[in-house]
Parts: sequence; C-alpha cells; structure tokens
Amino acid sequence: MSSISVQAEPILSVRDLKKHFGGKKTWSGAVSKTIRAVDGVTFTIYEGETFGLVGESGCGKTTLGRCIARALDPTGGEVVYAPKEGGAVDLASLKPRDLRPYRQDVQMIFQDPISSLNPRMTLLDIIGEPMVVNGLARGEEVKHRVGDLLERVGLRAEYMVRYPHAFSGGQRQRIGIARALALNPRVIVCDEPVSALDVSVQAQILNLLQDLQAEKNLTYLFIAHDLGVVEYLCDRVAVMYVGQVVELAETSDLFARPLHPYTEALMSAVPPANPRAARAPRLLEGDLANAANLPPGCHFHPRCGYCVERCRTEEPELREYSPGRFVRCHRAGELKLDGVAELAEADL
Amino acid sequence: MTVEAAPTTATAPSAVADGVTARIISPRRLMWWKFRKHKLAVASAIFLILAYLATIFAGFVAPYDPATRSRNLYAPPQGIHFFDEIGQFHLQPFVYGWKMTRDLETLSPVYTVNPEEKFPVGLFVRGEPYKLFGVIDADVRLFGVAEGGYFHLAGTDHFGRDMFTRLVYGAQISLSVGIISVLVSLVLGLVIGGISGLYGGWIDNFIQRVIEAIIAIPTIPLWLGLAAAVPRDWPPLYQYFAILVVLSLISWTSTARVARGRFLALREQDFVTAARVYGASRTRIIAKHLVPNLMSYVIVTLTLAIPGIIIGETALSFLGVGLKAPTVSWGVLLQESQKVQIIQFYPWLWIGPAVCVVSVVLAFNFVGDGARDAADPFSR
Amino acid sequence: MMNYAIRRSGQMLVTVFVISVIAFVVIQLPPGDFVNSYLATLSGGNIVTQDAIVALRAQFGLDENLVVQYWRWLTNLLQGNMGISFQYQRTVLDLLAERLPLTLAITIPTAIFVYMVAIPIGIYSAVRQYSLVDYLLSFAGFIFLAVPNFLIAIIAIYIGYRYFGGGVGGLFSPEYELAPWSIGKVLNMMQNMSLAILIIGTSGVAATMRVMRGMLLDELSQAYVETARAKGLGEWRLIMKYPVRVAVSPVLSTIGFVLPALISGTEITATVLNIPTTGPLLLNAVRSQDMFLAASIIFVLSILTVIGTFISDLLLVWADPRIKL
Repeated sequence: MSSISVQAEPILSVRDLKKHFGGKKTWSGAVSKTIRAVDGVTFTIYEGETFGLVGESGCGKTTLGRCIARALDPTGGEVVYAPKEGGAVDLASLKPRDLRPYRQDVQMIFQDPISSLNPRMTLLDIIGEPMVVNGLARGEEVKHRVGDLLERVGLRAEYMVRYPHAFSGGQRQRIGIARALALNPRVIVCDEPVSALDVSVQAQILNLLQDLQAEKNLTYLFIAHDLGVVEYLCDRVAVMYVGQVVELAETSDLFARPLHPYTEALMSAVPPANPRAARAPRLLEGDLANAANLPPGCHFHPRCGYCVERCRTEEPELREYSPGRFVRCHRAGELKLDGVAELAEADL
Repeated sequence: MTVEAAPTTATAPSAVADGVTARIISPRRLMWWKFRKHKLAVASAIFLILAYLATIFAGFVAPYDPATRSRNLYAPPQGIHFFDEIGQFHLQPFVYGWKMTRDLETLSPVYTVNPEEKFPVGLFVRGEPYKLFGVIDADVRLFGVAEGGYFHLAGTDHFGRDMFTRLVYGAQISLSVGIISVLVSLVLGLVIGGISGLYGGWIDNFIQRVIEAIIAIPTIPLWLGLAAAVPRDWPPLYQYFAILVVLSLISWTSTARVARGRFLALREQDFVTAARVYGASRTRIIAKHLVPNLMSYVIVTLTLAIPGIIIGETALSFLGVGLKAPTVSWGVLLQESQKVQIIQFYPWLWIGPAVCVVSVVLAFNFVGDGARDAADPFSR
Repeated sequence: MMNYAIRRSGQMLVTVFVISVIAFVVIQLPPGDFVNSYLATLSGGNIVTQDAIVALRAQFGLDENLVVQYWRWLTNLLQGNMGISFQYQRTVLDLLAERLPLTLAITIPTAIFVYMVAIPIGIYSAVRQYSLVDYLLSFAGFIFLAVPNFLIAIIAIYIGYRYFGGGVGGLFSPEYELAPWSIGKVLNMMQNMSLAILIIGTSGVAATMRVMRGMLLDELSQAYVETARAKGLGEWRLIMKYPVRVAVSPVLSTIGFVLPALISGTEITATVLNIPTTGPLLLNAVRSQDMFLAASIIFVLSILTVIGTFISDLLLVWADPRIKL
C-alpha cells in the first residue's frame, strides 16, 4: 500500500455525476418511476493511485464505474479527464465521435469472467480487436502484440488461437486484463475483478494488477464490496450508499476510524483478525433503500443505530471533515465508531 | 457417451510452439459434438439430406416422367417379390403385371395380379430419356423394369401417371418451399427482430404488438385470405413465389421473437460493453459480437419453422387455393383426396403424399430438437 | 389485479387494431376492387356504362384514399355492419351468425379436451420419466405433432368406410339429416362433433403434453421436492401438492398459442369433414374472392382468440398469486 505523493496530478475529476433510469413516459401513458442509480457523486482520482469504491450490491457503484468509462451515458454532471498532452476534457458530455480519442485512455475490467469474453472469438480476436478498431496495429503486428500481452498477464502466447471456453475463471480474467491493456490505457475501471474468483486465484489476480500498475503507471478505479481486498489494494476509498458517496478518506484513516455509521456497519461485517478480540457487531438491519423511492432526510436513517430527529428530516451534505476526509453525516465526529485494525494481513 | 471420446477423433490444427500440442476446439465443433449425441436427430438429418438430393436428381430417382400416362388408370402399388407363385426364389426381384377388369356396378377398374406377367426389377436401368438438372441428356434411372413392362411402386392416378414419380417431383416443390420460405423469414425476422431489440422504445413496442397480433390470428384462415390475392391466371412459377411470400409473411414472427430476445440478452453482456468502451462501432458490434452469438438460436427456430411451412403449403394446395396442377406438389397431389371416393377406393393416392409430408415434418422436428440442445454448447 | 386488467385490455385494444389493419389489407390485396367483384356477380348480358361504374365506386366510397376507406370500414364493422357477401347475396353478419356458433361449439370443447387430456398425460410422463410408457407417449406425441389435422380427418374418413362401413363427416348422419330435432338427432350430432374434437385436439394434446412434461421435470429437480420427500410425504401426494401446481400455470398460459392453432384446425378439419362451421364458408369466400366475407371471418376469429386469451390470462392471474403484475 503506497501512500499517495502530494505532487500527483488529478487525472479524473468526477463532478456531481448523475445517472437516472426510467422516468420516461411509456406508450400506455404511464410514467415509470425514476431510479436514481447515481445521484450527484463528486470525487477526484489522482494519477497512479488506486481509488476504491465500496458499497453493498445495488448501491450504484457499477453504474458509476460504467458512466466514467462511458459504457453508459450519464444523465448529468461532469467527468473531467486530464489527457497526457495537457488540458481537460469532460468525458461525460462528449459526443460519441469526439469521445473516440479518449476511449483508449479509459478501459474496463469486468466482474463476470464468463460474459466478459465473446465465446465465438479467439483470444487473438478478443485482444486484437481494440487495436484494430483504434488503428494501433494491423496484420502480423496485432499477433505480436497480442502474444506479448498474453505473456505479460501470465498466459502463453500460443493460446491466442483458442476460444475462451477452454480457460478457467482466473485465466479468463487475465484475458480480460490483457484486452484492457491492449490500448495502453492510463485509467482502468476495475469492476469487482476478483469477486467471482476463488480466494486462491484472487490473490494472483490482485498481484498482477499491482505489478501492472507499477510497470505502466496505471490509475485504477477499483470497485469492490470486499473490504479486505480494498484495504489491501487501495490508496483512498469512497463508500457509496444508494447512489451517493457517504464517506471518502485515505484507506488507513477510514479503516482505523470510520466517520459514517454505514462504514462502521460494513466493517463490522468483516470477520476480525483476532477472533477473541471483543467487538460488538453492528449488523445492518433492513434492506438497501429503494433508489426509486428514497426515504426523506438522510437516506441511511431507517437502518442507522445512531439516528436522531434531525436525520429523519434534513438531508446531510457531503462535507470536508478534515483535509482529504469527506463525510455525509449530521453526527460525524460526535460518534465514537469502531474501525478494524490489520485486516489485510488476516485476509490475505 | 460419445463426447468423452470425441476430442481424440477430432484434432484441430495444432499450435506448436514449444513442443506442446494444443487442440483448438471451436464453439462450432462443440455444437456438432452435442448434436451428434442425438442419434435420432442425426438419422433424421441424413434422411433429409437424402430427400433433398432426390429432389435435385429427380429425373434419375424417378422411374418415369411425371406426365407420362400408362394404360393402367388408378392402378394400386405393385409389390416387389423375391419368390414366385410356386415358391421359387429369384435373386433379382420382380413385380407382377396387372389384369384389369371393371366393376360392373361402379364401372371403376379392378386390378388383380396376373401371374403370367413378370417384370424383373433392376437398378440403373435404361428408361425414358430425361434431362438431368434440366440440361444434361440422360436415360439411366435408379431403378425400373425392362422396356415393355411397367412398375408403379406407389400406384398410378386417374391418368395412369406413376405416383412414385410424382411424389419425387412433388418433393421438389414441397421441400423447396420449406427452405426458401424459411430463408425469407430469416431475413425478415432477423432484421425486424434486430431493430426491435436494438432500438427498443416505441419501435420495439410497435413491432411487439404487430407480432402479437399476427400470432393471435389463426394461421390457416389468414393464409387463405392472403392466398386469395394470388391471381389465378398467373404462370405456375409466379404462383409458386406468391405462395412462398404468403407463407413467409406469417412465419417470420417466431424468428423475430428469438432474435429480439437474444439481442436484448446479448446487449447486456460484458463483452459488448467492453467493445463499446474500446470504441467499436455499432455496425461492428452487431456484425462481430451480436449476430454470431445469436445465429445458432435463430437456426434452431428456423429448423422448427420449416415443418409448419411445409404443412402450410400442403394445406393450402389441398384446399385448392395454393398451387394448382400442372404444378406437382404434395399438397396438389392430396387435392384429389377431397373426393370421398378417392379416399375410400384409391387410398394410395393420399397415403403416398401423406407419408412423405409426415416423415419430412417428423425429421425436421427431430433435427430441430437435437439442434436446440446443441445451440448452447456451453450449458452444463 | 384491477391495474393489470386495465393495462392488459389496453394492450388488447392495440392488438385488435393491428388485426383490423391486417384484415383490411386482406380485403384490399386481390387485384380489382369491390365493384369489379360486384359486376362479376351480376348476371351476364347487362351492359354497365362507365358512368354507372363511377357512380358505384362513389357510392361505396372507393374513390376515397385508403385511410378513409379503412376508417369507414372499421366504423361500420364496429357497428356490426360487415358488408355484403356477393356470393351469397346476404349480409356478412347474417352468415356469421349462422356459422360462428358451431365453430365455437367445436373449438371451446376442444380446448378443454386438450388440457384435460394433455396435463394428466404430461404429469404421468414426467413422473415416470424414461419408462416404457413415457417413451411411447413421447413417440406418439412426436407423430401427432407431425400429422396435420386434415390428414387425420382423411384417415378417419378412410377408416370409417373401410372398417365401419359408414360415412364419416357432416354434422348429422344421413338418416338424421332431414329428420326433425329429437334426442337421437342431438346425440348423433354430438357423436359427429366429438369425432371432430378428437381430430382437432390431437396435435394440441401432443404439444401441450410435451410442455407439461418439460415444466414438471424442471420442477421435480428443485430442492424443495427433495425436502418434502425427506419429510416423508407420500410420492404422488407430494407431486400433486407442489410441483404440479407450480408447473401447471405456465402450461395453461400457452393458450395464447393453442387457441389460434385450434381455430385453424377447426376450420380446415371442418372443411374436410363437411361440417358447416365458418371454415367451409371462408374457403368458398376465398375461392370466389368474396373478400368482405373472408376478411370478416378472419377478423372475428382473431378477435375471439384474443378475447379467449385475455380471459384465460385474467383467470390465471386470479388463480395464481405468484404472477404479480
């Protein structure tokens, strides 16, 4: 875990990003409910860092990742990207044609090793297509590059004539990584890249990602629901709850002393390093709030153990609690919340 | 059972780099292995291939010309014999000639076996000249009897024409209608279903309602209504294509439904998202990622749609609103059987075409069933 | 439930509209128009002047554009005015009123017959999977799926003549044909109709049986069945109590496909068996290009299937609480 240097430049600045689904009039005249999957998210990712995004499934973290990579078109807000040549472009508002030059710079790795690879294509086609589409290579050159990439991710170059069904989950994830690397991107959105894998394979893939980051100076947006993985890999972490960031901090700070009750609850779900250490579990009760029908006030209040009257009526803002630490809670600081210590060693 | 043994029998071109031989198994090969497990489907496929070959080489397979008339009107099928009337075995099989008398009440011909007349049946016999594929002069027929004799394997009709011959020529029409109609449905279904699945929104809604409406309309009445529009004075070829279009106009719906469903499912797959993220164009995504992955499902739907179309043509022609004589199709042959007397007294006139229709439909159903299982080679 | 019914009827209206457009296309498709056909039915020798033809066209609104014509046709249709059959020189409504009841009297019992027979057979086949009976039933199912209705009708006629020495077909046997109504005549009619039902129902039974078998097999492999078995519930009781109830509702919902197929079957089988349903009427109309009659029959039959499907869908939602919409 490398602490981020102060001089690092912002590479991606997400400003008030929104993605709403539905809300359209259907042919029968009924208006479907708007689902606010991502509802005003703001944060900045610095070059070379690994930025974690955690939350329960359904909290909008995958949607957010896809909006940043423009696999989805955001409803509103900005994704300001700083290209190598300098300047700044808003990826969120670019038209598909204008977006093309920046597509290469932001790539994705997917969760599902089955559906992320086209079963009717050979590895050569799967990894080679991005190069061909973007005019980076053609003919024999594609083969060379694909072979190099396969070897770089720990597979054999001659596998390129095979089809994905011949590979295991971990191998397929390596193929997915090779495809993402094919365009020499600067930012990779990793959408839970290890959560579908066996624990033993998880570590190999995480190590590969770390090695690649060091080698190619990559920036990762790492989406996960496994806090152990996040603590091991990430420099800073944002915690999401129903489409909003509720807490953002450096990993060590967050784990040592969470400021938001939701963060605390997430952490208490992780088995402690020392099973004998006394710790009162704060289990989450109830379900994730419905993004189509949000509760008034703080969206988390129906499940919060520290809820007071103000939480029921007034929606909290995301505020800077201390330099680099953001939290969306009325009672941040006045609560004494439990963190976890030395979780990474226990888990990995 | 065979699938474990299969990889050794089918070794693909191997990529040899460091002495390691790798077998490359394409999804297509996996499908073939899975299909091969269904013995009935494989047997049916072979049967269908033979049937289609017979339509291509119709002149060779049929012993006569479909228009040739013999003296024997309404003659029943002749049985093939190896033993003669005194029980002696003949290596070369033979058929007996007919002795015709008339029923004095109904005046219809009555045929009895004439033990005096024996016509040995041979393979590759010289018979009436014909043109193979319509161009090559030939006179060798697959089977037949020497000149002077006659052999009607499936009997004769009211003009004394050989029914077996007419069944073979009828297959040309009936089987090709199935295939060509289904190709038209393929194009219609893929395009319309694709548009529906890709664009969504009101276009999708509209197309779905149209499909629902077409499905709700009873097929045969609608076919009848559309077939009524085919002018009766058109030449046979035009009528053939008109009926083809009528049949396809309804059968595209199942293809469209499958295509739409697969498009919707595939669109959400991560490999499509990946392609969008690395900047592949819409056309490229459709052509390289979506279509190859849905074709197997579409082909299965089509295989299962062919029987419906063959039955449709047969039903329309049977009712007298489809193809008409002099065109020969199984339905046209069955048209005769609208008369109760024919059903009753000359059953070979309808049993022949009926057996042909049922066996082909059955075979397509078996092939379709096997193919459905093979379409998703990665399941289980 | 109410919401679903309203939304579903909205969809139904759209479907009916599309069907009406298709029916109108059927009217418009044959070359020539109303007036040509009308003139063709007039007795020969009449000399019709060009002016008279133009006047006729104007009278029937044929000089208007297609949209106007369609609208006029539809509004008339909704008021029960379906036009006149040239061939019969009667109103289409009259003819339909005469023939339609018999079509329904055959189709509805056939639908009931199909489900009553197919579901038990399907259950048996699934529970005794890979048994001899299952193989035989599956094989018979394949065969009956492959034999079109009208062929079965022909075979029935042949068997009737050959082995029972009597004619098959018609609504009544010859001895009752002209006789006044009596119990004997009603029984005779029902006997003839049940033959038709049997013939039309076979392919439906074959198809539905296969669906039922497949659905139940899927259900039987679920873990809860194993649990119930472990609890010591009797095998048949267990199967009837849970998996069958789950498997039956998707089977019943196939009615949207079964109903049109049955009506198709009724029409063609009735033609072969010479039963005076709308089938022979439609065939005659089509042969003589009596398109108003033909299109009205197609339209009404389709509407009936749509309504039938709608009613069964509602019943299904009402009966099966798991279908939430």
